[in-house]
Parts: sequence; C-alpha cells; structure tokens
Amino acid sequence: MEFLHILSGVPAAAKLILLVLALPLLGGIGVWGISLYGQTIPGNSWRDRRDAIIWSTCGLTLLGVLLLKPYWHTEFSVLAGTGIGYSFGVDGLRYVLAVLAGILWMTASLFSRGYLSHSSHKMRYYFFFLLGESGILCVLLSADLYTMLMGFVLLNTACWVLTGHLESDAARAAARRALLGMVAGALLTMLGIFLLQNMFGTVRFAALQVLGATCQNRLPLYSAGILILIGISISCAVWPLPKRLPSTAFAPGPAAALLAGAVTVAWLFSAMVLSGLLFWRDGYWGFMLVILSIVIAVFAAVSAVFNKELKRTLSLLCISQTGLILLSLGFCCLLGYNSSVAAAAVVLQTIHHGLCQLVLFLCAGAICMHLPDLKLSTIRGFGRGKLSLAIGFSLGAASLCGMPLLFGSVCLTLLQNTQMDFISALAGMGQSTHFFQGIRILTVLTCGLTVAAMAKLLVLLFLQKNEDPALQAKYDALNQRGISVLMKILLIGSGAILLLCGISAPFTLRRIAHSCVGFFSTTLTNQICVLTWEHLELALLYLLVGAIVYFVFLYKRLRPHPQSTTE
Amino acid sequence: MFRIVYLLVPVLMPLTCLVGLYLFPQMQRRRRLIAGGLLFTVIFSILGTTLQGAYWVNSFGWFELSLQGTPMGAIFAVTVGFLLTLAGLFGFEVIKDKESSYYIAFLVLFAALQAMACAGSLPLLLISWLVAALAADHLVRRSPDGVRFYRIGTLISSFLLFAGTALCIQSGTSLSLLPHKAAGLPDAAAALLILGFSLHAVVCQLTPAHVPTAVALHSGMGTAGLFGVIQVICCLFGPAAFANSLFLRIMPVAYLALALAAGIVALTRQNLLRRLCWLGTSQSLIVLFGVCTLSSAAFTGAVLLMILGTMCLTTLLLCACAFQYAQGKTLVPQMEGIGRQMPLALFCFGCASFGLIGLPPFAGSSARWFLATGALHDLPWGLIAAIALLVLAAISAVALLQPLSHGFFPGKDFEPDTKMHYGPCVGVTILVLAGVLLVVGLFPAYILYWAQSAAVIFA
Repeated sequence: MEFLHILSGVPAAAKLILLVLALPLLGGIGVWGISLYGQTIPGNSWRDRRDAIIWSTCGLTLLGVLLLKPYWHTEFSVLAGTGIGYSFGVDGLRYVLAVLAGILWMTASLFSRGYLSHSSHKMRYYFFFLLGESGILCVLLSADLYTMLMGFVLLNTACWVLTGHLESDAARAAARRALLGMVAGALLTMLGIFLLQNMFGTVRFAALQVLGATCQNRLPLYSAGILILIGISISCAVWPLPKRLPSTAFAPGPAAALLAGAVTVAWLFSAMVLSGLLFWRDGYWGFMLVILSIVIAVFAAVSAVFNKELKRTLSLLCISQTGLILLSLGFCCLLGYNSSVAAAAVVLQTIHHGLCQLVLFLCAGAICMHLPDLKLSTIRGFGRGKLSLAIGFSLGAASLCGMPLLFGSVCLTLLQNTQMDFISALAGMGQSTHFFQGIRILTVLTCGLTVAAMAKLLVLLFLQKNEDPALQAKYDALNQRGISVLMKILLIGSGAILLLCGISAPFTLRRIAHSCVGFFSTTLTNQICVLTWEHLELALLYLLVGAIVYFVFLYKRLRPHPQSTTE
Repeated sequence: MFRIVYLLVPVLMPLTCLVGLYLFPQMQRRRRLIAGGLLFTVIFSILGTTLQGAYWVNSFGWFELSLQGTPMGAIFAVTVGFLLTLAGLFGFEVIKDKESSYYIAFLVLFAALQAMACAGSLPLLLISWLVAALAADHLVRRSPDGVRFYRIGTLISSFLLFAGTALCIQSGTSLSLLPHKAAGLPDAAAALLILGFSLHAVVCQLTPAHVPTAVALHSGMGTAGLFGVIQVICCLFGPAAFANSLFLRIMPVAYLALALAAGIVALTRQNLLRRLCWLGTSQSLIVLFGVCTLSSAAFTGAVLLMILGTMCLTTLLLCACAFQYAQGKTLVPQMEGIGRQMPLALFCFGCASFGLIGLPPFAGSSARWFLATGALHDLPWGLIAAIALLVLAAISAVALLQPLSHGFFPGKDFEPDTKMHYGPCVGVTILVLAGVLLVVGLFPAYILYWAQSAAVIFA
C-alpha cells in the first residue's frame, strides 16, 4: 500500500527511474525462481530461459536508462518530509554514467554465459550480479548522499559475493576483506553524512553547492568531506592501495571487469559530487586532491610495472588511472570558473576508464578461463595466434597508454591541457609554478609507467613463447576453440568502441562532455581534436618514458631462459 | 467509547485462548486455536493504533484503574504482538516437551504485555509488568541455566520499581500516565523507576534460554522494560521534569559506555545465541541512551531502534535456533558452510544482520540516522556519541558478519554432510520476518510516522 501510495504521487520520470532501479532486482528474483524450478525438472532447457531472463533484464534496464534522456534535470524524493527519504535525479553526467553502467552490465552478462559454463553456484552469481546493477544505478541516479550510500551498500554487497564466488582460499580471504571494507567504509561515510546533515539540515546535491560555498566553519566541512571520501574509497576497494582492489583478481572474469570498471566509476561519481558540488572552487580541497591523486597514480603505476600477475597488474593500472582522474578533479576545483576543460577531462576519463577496464578485464577473463593461475610465467605465449584476443587487448592497452586516434589519447591530452592552463594562470599571477610543473612531470611518468606495464603484458602474451613447449602446444591448440564466437565479438567490439570514440571525438566525445560539464557549473566552449601534433608529441613522450622503464627494469626479467628459445 | 474494545480484546483474547486449551485436548487443535487467537490479537493491536487518549478512568484513592491509547503504547503493542505471534508459530515445530504448560505461560505473558501497552496509570503498568515477569519466569524454568540469574534480576528490579512507586504515592501526586501531566513527583522516584525497568530489560536480554523462550524474553520482556522507561520519562514525569536533572545527564553516558562494553563482550562469545544475547543487550542500552538524551530526533531513533532492532534480533535468534534445530550447530566456527545447507535461513540471517548494523537500505538504518543526528544536534558531546554509535555498529558487524561470511563461502571442497530438516513453521516464520525487515527498511514511512508521533512530546 505504501509503495502504491508513493507511486501515485510522483511524475513519469520518477516512475521510470524507480522502474530502472527495480528491474534488475526483479530479474534477480526471476533468476532465483527459475533456478529453483530448474532443479526439479530434467534437461537443460531452463538454463537458456535463465540466460534469456538475465540478458533481457540487462537489456531492458539499459533501454530504461536510455529513455531517461527527455527527463534531464528532473529530481524527486520518495518519503520526503519524514526527515529521511530517498532522492533521485537525472542530468547530463548522471545520464551518461548510468548508460555506461548499463552497457558494462549488458556486456558482462553476455560474456558470463561462456565464462561460467563450467562453474557452480550460477544462481548466486547472477542474483548478486543483477543486485549490483541496481546498486550502481542507485548510486549514479541518486540526488542525495544518503541515497548514494544506500546504492553503495547494495553495490558492495554484490561485490562481496562476486569476489568470493570462486571460493578458493584467496577468493574467500578477498571476500572477507571486501565485506569488512564495505561495512567500515559505509560507517565512515555515514559519520560524514551525519556531520553534513547536522551542519546544513540536508544532504541533497542541489543544496550542497550553495551551502558548501557559503559555509564559514570550514573545519567540520572538511572533516565530513574527508570522511565521506575515505569511507567510499574503502568500501569501493580503491584505498588502501596495496591490499584491496587487486582482490578483483579473485572474482570471475566478467565480475572482475565490473569491479574494476563500474565500481570505480561509481566511486569517481561520489568524488565528483564532493568536489563538484560541496567543495566547488575550494582551493584547499583541490590541492589535497592533487597531492593524493598523484601519489595514488605514481605508486600504483610503479606497483603495476613490477607485479607478476596479470589481473593484479591490470587492477593496479586501474587504480593508477583512477588517480589521474582524481588529478583532473583536483585541477577542476583549483581552476574554478575556468575549469571547463578540466571538467571535460574528468568526465571523459571516467567514461574511458569504464570502457577500457571492461575490455582489458574481459580479455583477462578469456585468458583465465583456461589457466590455473595468471602468473606471468604461466600466461607467457597464451595469446599467440588468438586474433580476437590480440585485437581487444591491444586496443585496450593502446588506449590506456594514450596512443593517438584512441579514446585514451583524447583524455590524456585534455589532462595535460588542464595542467598547462593552471600553470599559465599561476605564472600570470606571478606565483611559483615549480610544484605544478613537478606534478606535470609525474603525470608523464605515470603514463610512461603505464606504457611499460602494458608493454610487459603485450610482449608476454602475444610475442614470446612459453618456456614449456608442451604448455605452448596446449595454448596453440586452443586457438580454434578456446574462445566462443560471442566472446570474440564482445572482445573485438568492446575494443573497437575505444577506437570509434577516439576517431569521432570532435562529434561524439565533445557532445558527451558538453552535456556533462554542467554538473560542475561550467560550459564547454573548446573543441576536442583527434589528431594534432600535441597528441603525437605526448604519445611519443609516453612511449619514450615507457621504453626507458621497460628496457632498464623489465627487459632482462622478462627474457625467456636460453634453453626455451633454442626451438 | 465503543472503540475501547480495541484495547480490551488484545488483553482478553490470549486469556480466552487459555480457556480453549482446556476445552481441546488435541494438540493440533490447540495449536490452531493459539495461532488464530494470536493473529486476532495482533489485528486488534493494529486497530488500537487509531486510539488516542484515556478511555476508562476509575480512581480508588491513589490507585487509578485506567486504560489509554497512545502512539507509544500502540507501537509497543503491535511490535510485541507481531513478534511473539511469530515466536509462537515457530514454537509449534520446535517445542517438543510440556507444550501445554509452555503455551499457558506464553499466553499469560502475551496478555500481560498487551495490558502494559494500554495501562493508563503507574500501578496498572506495574501490575501488568509483574504478571508478565512471573509468566516469563515460568518460561525461563525450561532451561535451568538462567533461572537463578533471572530471578535475582527480577527481584532487584521489582524492589527498585516498588520503592519508586512508594515514593510517588508518598508525594500524593496523581500516578496517571497521561502525557503532559503536572509535575511534583520526587526525582529519586524517577531514578528508581528508570533503573528498575532498565535493569530488568538488560536481565531479560542476558538470561540464557532456549529459543523461542529467548524471543519471548528478548522481544517481549526486554522491550517491556524499555517501554517502562519511556512511559516513566515521557508520561509519568514528562520531559520537562528532567530538564535540569543530573541523573538524566549521567545516564546517557553510562548507557553508551555499557552498550560498548556489552558489544565487546559479544565479540568474545563463540556460542551464537549468547553472542546475539549480548548484542541485544547492547541494542537495548542504545535505546535507553536515545530515550535519556531527551532529544526529539534521538528519541525517534530510539523508538525506531526499539522496533526495528528488536525485529532484527528476533530474526537472528530464530535463524540461530533454526541452525541449531536443523543441524545441531551452535558455535560460530560451526557455521562454516551453513549457507549451503540452509541458504534461505542464512539469507534471512544476512538481512537481519545488515539491519542490526544499520546499513541503508536495511531496517535499522533509519534508527541510526535519527539517533546520531539527534545526538549531534542536541548533546554537547554529540560528536563523541555519534562516533560511539558507529563503533557499536562496527562491533555488531564484526560479531555478525563472521558467521555470515563463513556460512556463505565454505570453500571449494566443502561437501554438505546433511540436508536441512525444518518444517514450514520455522521456514515461514523467518521468511516473513526477513520480508518485513526488507520492506520496512526500504519504506520506513509508517513506522517513522509512529515514532515521530511518540516523539511529539519532546518538541
């Protein structure tokens, strides 16, 4: 009755949002139901029906999100007036990120069928898989911090189960860490939200920008902001660095793609809410973000270069990219009203991050389907002769490294432009620019380290042969039947999106950025170019740094033993 | 005046069922009668929420025999009625010996608690409480470990309560529980009454007992103690009487410290039921903290926690009992792989655990929200209180998520040795409770409305 009463008083947009949030949950219950039913009947036909339910749920949810376009700038609350209610809303940024989440879930659901064909406990996997979609959409379509936290709890509950799904000892330990992280993070975030509620009497996004800007007592405000940022970082496994996010390595391939791609997108959205609304034009907050982010980016990139496991390396690169996005966000706060390029960089980097992690982790998933572990010595030579895998992985890797004509190149160039803008502005005011020049150098170093780490993986997977000839023969035998047609299409398709976005950047990416930067109270006037001397120059710089790091630190380590090369 | 039946039926119906127990010798018929009677009582308790004010007043000197309908009474009646009804249904499957004597005591307890909910004066409240305590004593006797502890606790509580009442009678002021009454009662009486009810609430939570007796103790008598404290503060004395009271400045600190201590003790317990008992104690002490802050928002949070926390704890207790009943597992380390054997029960356990921790959107999150924001807003040490509340939530998380994590992920090589063996009464009961918890967690508006109605007195 209460639910019907709620629905009777809300506009069409609100009903659509509620439907979008409820659809995956209903799909999850449907999967549960059909799996229970399937256990009582002979044959496997129910498995197809189950997969049909999952795909149609993800597809309908994506469609529902796409249909939200006419309702931009709509906000509504459920149970408003009780002192505690849920608020949802759509604007350019939230729409684009929700569509991105829908695409990620759709792709991962398609990939899951082949990946999990020999796995047990699929009902549990799919139920929480769909619960995670509800959770992330709740985060991305939320219009207040409490609702956002609710979404994070749902999302992280799903992550907990997905991380431990394979039930190896390492996976169980990672799941336990994820569960503790979720609770600890949620409680810290709650404390921050309590402080904000006590200060302002509301935690709605629409009010936070004005209230944050006019707040005189900044110390409690910073405390609340830091608590929320740290809390959500812990629950999303982005912090602390060495232990947490690499736990995605233990999740099944498609789930790992979502953990690395979508969950960090949700985390970045929360960081955007804090930086773009509560601490908008706050120099101290921006400065703190810059320092924090560059530490994260460099540290994670260095760890990635020296890591000896595929998924962990990818996870660390994922954290490094997250650091670079946070860096753009920091410059966004520092630049204030002139931050349109920085805001565009933040938005495009976030989208790129989600797509790029999807393709890389799907490739990792396609590899680990056939291997007992993903140690570099084991995966050596696995990719030889597997064209779809090579195309998908290479496109993802090249985009992550900022190679021209790809999506990543556009993002990294925007980040460099942002830094140049700020340094020029500082120089114009007669202030020292040494610190930010240093930050710029560290950014280039991070990108170079990313190139080195990716080169390491590409060389190992596709160029070198395994030291064990028998194992290499086994890998070669998988060339024809190792990856299903659907998975090949998904690998190439998700990689091709990065290329398409890069080539069509002046049209597609500019339009996306233009519609999203309104969240940061700015308007994008600059053009976004595809291939300029600037892009080439930066790419060459990254390649140069990457080559130095590779040949100095990695080349000898990765060289196969002489006896294996005699063949 | 006709609507007084909404107050009388919940009290009289269980007693009528008692008569029915003697009329029907077959246990199956008795069970149907009890189930019907309890459900009927709950329906009338819900109808009783529409009542407001005194409905029957007869004074015999200081002894005032009156019934009243208040938001707080309605909340208490419905919560206790609903949970004890489910505990009763659960018992149909679990109780094997001396079933009749169990249900006689259970029905008396049920009727006495409903009488407490509509008591319009302190003497009537005390008499109802005493009858309920005696009925609970009969239930506790089924597990001899806790009899002495319960009796000593009840004796001390009774002494404190009767001493407080005697002081009130001596002052010559009316003992009516109608809100906004005139002041004039001694502070010492307030202290004695609050301590008496609080002590008994804690004693009930800590008394070792088998489920569903434990549910009757925790959800019934434990909540009755909390309700007694609320009635004393809000109705007998009125919040204004405590504006400058040193006692009520000290008590929130003491309750919070004790709640932390109880939470830490819970972590050290390996027996799941004992761990839940200590967590229940911690929750009760948080409710008392919220009530004693005299803040409108914190009071709302306390009432919400009284309802939702009790529901969560009842679910956890019933799930723990189901584990014990079906698999014979009582210790936390034994819960490894229980999710494979009893997935539904562990799912319900998970929902209730998240609710008790207070994570949104599960039931219990709204209670934490109001408690913390109320403390931050109205207490000079509000930040410390809010942090302590979150620390308590973290302690609950550590205590509850350990069996949950072990239960869901036992490892690749785990082979369940036995299948689940519990019937529909157990399964349906915990499923209904978990369903209600999920719905109430997502849509807390009605319960919130009740709690805020009860908190109007602080505005």
